[in-house]
Amino acid sequence: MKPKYTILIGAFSAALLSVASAAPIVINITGATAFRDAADGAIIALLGGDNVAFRARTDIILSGTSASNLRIYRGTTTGGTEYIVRATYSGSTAGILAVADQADLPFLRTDTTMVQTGPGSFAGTLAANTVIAKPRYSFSDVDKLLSQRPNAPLGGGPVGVVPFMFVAGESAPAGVTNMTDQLHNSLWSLGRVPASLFTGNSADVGFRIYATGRNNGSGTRASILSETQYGSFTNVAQFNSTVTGNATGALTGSPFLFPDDLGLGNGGHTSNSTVRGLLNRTSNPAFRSGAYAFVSYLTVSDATGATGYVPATGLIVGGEGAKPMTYNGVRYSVDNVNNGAYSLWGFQQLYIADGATQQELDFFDLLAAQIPTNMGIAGLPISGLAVDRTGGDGGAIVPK
Amino acid sequence: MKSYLLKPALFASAMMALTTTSAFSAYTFANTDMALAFYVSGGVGADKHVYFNLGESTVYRDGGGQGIKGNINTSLIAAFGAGWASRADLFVGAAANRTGFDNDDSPPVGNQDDGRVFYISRPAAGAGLSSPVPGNISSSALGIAGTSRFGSAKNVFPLIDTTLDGAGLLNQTSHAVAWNNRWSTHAPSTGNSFTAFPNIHGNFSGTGDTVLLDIQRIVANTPGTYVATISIADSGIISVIPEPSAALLSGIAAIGLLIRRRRA
Repeated sequence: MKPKYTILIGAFSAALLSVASAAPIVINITGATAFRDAADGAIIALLGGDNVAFRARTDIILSGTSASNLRIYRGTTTGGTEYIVRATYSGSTAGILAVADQADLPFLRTDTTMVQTGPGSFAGTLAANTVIAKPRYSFSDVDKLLSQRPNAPLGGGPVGVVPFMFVAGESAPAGVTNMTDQLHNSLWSLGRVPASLFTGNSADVGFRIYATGRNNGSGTRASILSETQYGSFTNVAQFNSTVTGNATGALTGSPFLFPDDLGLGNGGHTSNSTVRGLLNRTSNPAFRSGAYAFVSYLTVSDATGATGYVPATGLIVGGEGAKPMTYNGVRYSVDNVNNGAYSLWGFQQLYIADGATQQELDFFDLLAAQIPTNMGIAGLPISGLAVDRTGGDGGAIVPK
Repeated sequence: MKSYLLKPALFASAMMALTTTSAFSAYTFANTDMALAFYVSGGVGADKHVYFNLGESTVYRDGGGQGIKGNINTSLIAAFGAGWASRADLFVGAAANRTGFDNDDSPPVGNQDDGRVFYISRPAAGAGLSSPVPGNISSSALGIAGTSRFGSAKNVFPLIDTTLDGAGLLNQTSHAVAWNNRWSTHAPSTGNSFTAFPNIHGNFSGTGDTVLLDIQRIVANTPGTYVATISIADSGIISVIPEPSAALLSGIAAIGLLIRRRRA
């Protein structure tokens, strides 16, 4: 072999080795729990797709600490850049706060064992599986104007549409089918109202409807409170309950007010899955002879799972027993959102920290491009909307 | 209208204020305390609210709490300008409520009121002379007022700055989030306050050097009952003065005692 070829082959091999051994770029994301499954789809698609990208998520409980909002992915984009993407979902406005303040959050370790299918498995304590790092991106169901850092100089903006549905608990009277802004105001101000307000049937006066919902800091909550004109920063009165079993189980004990620093009842669930857990269970016959049920709001993915509601047809197929509700008399469907008849939705935002590097901006663009086609039923692409909102979340819906 | 009858009391109050204002070192607000709020509807200070904590509301219900509460003239000048007490667009109101819940879910403890009992201010031409709050406010309306509206207005207290004279200062610039729940959001100068109560604010327009606010105790479906009167002087002194009938009875009792001693 001629010396010049030897040199070239050597250089080429060195370059290959260099590429192979280059450390993957680590990306830290936080924000909306309601959007985490949609984000899953976009991130996995970006990093090679199903059965190519590696991933793990802590659906298990680590030493008594629920950590189901921690996720990690590894893969390579079509452009050849390898990433490790870590997500710690803490809620929309909490995520904005964390990115704006560059707060320390626990993220899964980069040497976490990841698999190409399934959630992976974890053992040991939360601390043993995580490291502290600063989030640089945040998903949010609401605009930063409704967060605790409304003036934070964050980059980014809307990347999708996130619809919600009101849902009644399994034991609710059959006539609890519709939520209006006025009923919402009464229910979430008082915490509980007679079911007759919903059904118009005086026989339901003795049946109590309890409000439940998300915690302060949830973008889902801020979206609902904005859309219903209740006031996104106004206190609510929400109840919780102990439960037994899974979706076929029952509520136990009696409903109790969520504690909160800013007022009894103003607290709430830290994820939609536990809200769903109160709606897909039957009432406790030992309390008020079972004449009570919860009403709340869920993302469409949780709502359809809990109720069996089929948006395309409006029919109920399967589900877990919870009951879908219309909003201001209109049922949820993709067409009703896109054409403006159904207004219980907000823009999904993807924010990036101030002073982002070019490398971080590049990832933002890559991820944002994947979202419209990978949200599943959790979101809708903005491009499908024939309408727009003026004045931000909860604002008027107008033709484009 | 000037309240000449109050002059001696206010003079004494001013003297006492010189020695009492230093007692206020930190701004705190308990759930059952009574809040006094100042704001303007425009102009200088439209981005600020000034609050003052009048203390435990049940004390007034039980006939106590009279006397000087503080002098926040410095805070009011800083927020609304030196002529704050001559501004017709400056409003002041007071409210107290334990929570919005009834006894089923949040029963009162000890001397506490039911969660659906409110204390609310009414402008008065003289102590005890305000018109009663109408008796058509339902328990649910009081619940909404307490839980979501006044409850939200109280959210600002842990977040705002304490001034040297014991007031709480809410500034839109430095408290952008708390500003969403400012007093005037839930208790605007026109329309119902906390969605339930008409006409709770007083101002200095035409009242001379003192604004009087009667505090009325509100229970469901019953006209408001007089509890106490808050005096806000143009000097910034805030006082709670006794109900005239109570003061009159006290005076008669004192005279009676004096006569008895002289005879003895």
